[in-house]
Amino acid sequence: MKFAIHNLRMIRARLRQNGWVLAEFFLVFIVMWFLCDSLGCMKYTFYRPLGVDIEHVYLLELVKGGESRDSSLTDADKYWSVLEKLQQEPTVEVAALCYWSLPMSGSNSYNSLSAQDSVWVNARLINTTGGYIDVFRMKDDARCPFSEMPADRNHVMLSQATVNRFKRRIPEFSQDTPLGHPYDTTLTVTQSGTIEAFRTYRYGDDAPCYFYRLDENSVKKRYADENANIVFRVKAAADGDDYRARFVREIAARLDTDNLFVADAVPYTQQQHQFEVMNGDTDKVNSQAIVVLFLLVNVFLGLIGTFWFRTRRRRSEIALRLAMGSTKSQVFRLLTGEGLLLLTIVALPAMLVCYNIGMAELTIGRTELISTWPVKWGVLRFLLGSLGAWLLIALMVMMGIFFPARQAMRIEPAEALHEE
Amino acid sequence: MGDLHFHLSIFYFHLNLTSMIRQTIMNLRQNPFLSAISIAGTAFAITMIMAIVITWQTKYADFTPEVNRSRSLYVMAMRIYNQDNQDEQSYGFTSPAFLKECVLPLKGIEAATAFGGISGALVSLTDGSNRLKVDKRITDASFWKVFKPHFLTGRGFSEEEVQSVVVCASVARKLFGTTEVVGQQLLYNRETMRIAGVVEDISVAAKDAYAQIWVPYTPGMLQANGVWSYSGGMQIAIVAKSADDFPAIREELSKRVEAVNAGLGNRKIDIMEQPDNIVAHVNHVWCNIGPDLPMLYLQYAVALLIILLVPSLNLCGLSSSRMQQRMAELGVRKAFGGTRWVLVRQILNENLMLTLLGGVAGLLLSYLSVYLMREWLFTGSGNVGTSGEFSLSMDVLFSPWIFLLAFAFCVVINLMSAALPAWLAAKRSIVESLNDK
Repeated sequence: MKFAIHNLRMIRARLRQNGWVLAEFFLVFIVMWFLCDSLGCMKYTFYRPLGVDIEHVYLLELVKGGESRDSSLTDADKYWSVLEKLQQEPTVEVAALCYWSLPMSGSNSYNSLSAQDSVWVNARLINTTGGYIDVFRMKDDARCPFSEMPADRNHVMLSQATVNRFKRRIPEFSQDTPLGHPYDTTLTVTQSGTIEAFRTYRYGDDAPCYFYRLDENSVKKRYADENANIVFRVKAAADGDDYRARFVREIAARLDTDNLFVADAVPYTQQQHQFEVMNGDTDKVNSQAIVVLFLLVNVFLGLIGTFWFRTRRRRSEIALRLAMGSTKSQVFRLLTGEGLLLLTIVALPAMLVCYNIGMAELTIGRTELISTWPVKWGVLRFLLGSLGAWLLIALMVMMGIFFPARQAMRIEPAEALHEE
Repeated sequence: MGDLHFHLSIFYFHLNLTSMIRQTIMNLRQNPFLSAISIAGTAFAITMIMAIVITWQTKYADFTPEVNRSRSLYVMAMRIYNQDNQDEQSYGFTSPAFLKECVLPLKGIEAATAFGGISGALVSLTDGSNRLKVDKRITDASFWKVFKPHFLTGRGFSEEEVQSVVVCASVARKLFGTTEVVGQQLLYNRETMRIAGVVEDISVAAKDAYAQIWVPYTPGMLQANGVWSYSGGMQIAIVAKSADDFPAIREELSKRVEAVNAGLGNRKIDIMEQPDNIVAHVNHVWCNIGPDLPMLYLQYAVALLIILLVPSLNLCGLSSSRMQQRMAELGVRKAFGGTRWVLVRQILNENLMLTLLGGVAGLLLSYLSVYLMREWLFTGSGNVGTSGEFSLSMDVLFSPWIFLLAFAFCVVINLMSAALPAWLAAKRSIVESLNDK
């Protein structure tokens, strides 16, 4: 405390020299808060459990080309045949065929269902065969597994996020609530269960989905000329770094059906990476991390420069303190204390600015400046972001002062006093 | 008096260069540590700025093979909606039929091509051996007018050559062991194709031109039959005679779309805010959401501002430290008649030498960092998942623009970091300066 008051006096006495450092701290603190907040929210979301597992999952890359040698086959017939052959492969644990339903693919279809005729909830449609839940290791409904649900348009399973959306608007919503069809109001859709909450995207929130099951009959009837996706899970024991190459070499050609060729089995982690790049999140995290690094290095350089010169000027003062019985660590604490106090003095008004930026809900173009999704804006988030910014800058302050201070303290007290 | 001052300053300027260099060396010697810090600070800032500039140039400026970017317009997404039912709409890519009906009739365009996204294809020798998965792009003969890859042998396929392909050098080598393969045949998926030309491998950074094999789409795809034929997995690039023609082309294109819509039923086509220029095009990822350009430009502006401002504040602190050390010298100069303006200019000139040293180091570092981070910097929606190489274009790295901009930013940093401290220091009275320890 004594030090702090002393430090405050010293800071006031040197306000003019400290001006540049103060201005820099102010600017850097605001930017650093923004980055800590943004990166913090993204990383927090990134590391939350997904509820799906894409380890050992592969996506078939299929190529349609050349003239067909069997014109009686529809595309659906060919895809189904590839799926059946794939399921018989000994290394394959489970496989699924789906339409516009892959996680992290960017190819989606949406629709709405209604409850009580008035509450419509829009969600992604998952049109897939029963294996899908097991391929991605989603948590199935134990009472009514997805693979046993009738394969028609009148039976649906909701993901937990969809249920939550309904419940927010109809508190008494339950699994027995009949749902209304989007186009044909005379039809009702029966819920046959719930898939536990999952996120399909590492930077995203829980996914609201409607699951419809497909079987051979419905695929061939409804999707005769559509492009399908086939995903499969490899037995953990059979998987390895060379699985992809082995698959292409040994298995792929066996699966070819007419002019539908199996070109590759792409690890799903790669699909995930691609989607993160496409969505711009990889770029965002990388660029923000680089700006953080840039700011930190600059704070370090700025402080080391300023304090180098200043501690040299204060050599005699330091020497006097040492001569009068201060220990080196006490002097060091005095010097870093000054830096940290400077930072804290600036941090308070800077935080005021930051808080107002956060509250202002600014949007630029279509993007919110301070994203309120998937982590809600709140005081705790603000304080954590500020703490993060303070700690990072404080670390640089300590490092930036340490070297000049050590340099200054190296002299013998007598020598410095003699100079005087 | 005015005359005399003018003469003095000319004289001063002549003296200046040698004395500036001498002063810089003195500075470096007297204050190696502070000088090193300020050079490092400048270098770091210039590294960041130039890395941004190089990335920008690689993404958006003309270079081989995408030599026409600056005068190109792009249409990628197509919205088909039902005018009787607003809820019914479908987003996808555009199609060759759209090219034929809406783009080719436009006056004042030089060339236009439709090209698909990168997808996998299997190629092999005609006997089925050497089966290879490659990145293929389907397109038309005009592709070779819009993009100018470097042909090692042969040329692009023409409109009549529907059974011909162009392959890149590395694929030719893997298949045949040589690039002298024009006229030879290969098996593409299951079809036999003739090789019309071999091009040098294209960097993935050229996201529209890149592929490993280019295959013509069937002429049937040009035929418009119904609204859905305007949606098919293709993008369109239009080369205008000059970028000044963009507004006219946009207007004419929207008229063509209207004309086509007049002939359609209740389902209509809509190209939204397109055609895009190159910046919008590169950032146009999804079919249903256009690029968010205000945010993009704001990000660049804020990044530039911070990268310039933060180091400048730093350097301000450093130069005012240095100024304090030289207070006595400044006092003497003033006592001998140096005006405030002359003093400030001298300090700025001296400082510029330090800044330029930092600038050169920074530029070199930016080349290194862009090279090391090229994969992250240039991977985007258009080329993610492809198997080609990210090579950097020498035209971009060593263009005069890069050097000019680097120098300009050095001058800006110099002004921002030394002008104010110098002005403040030169303000102090002679007595005060001379007395300063």
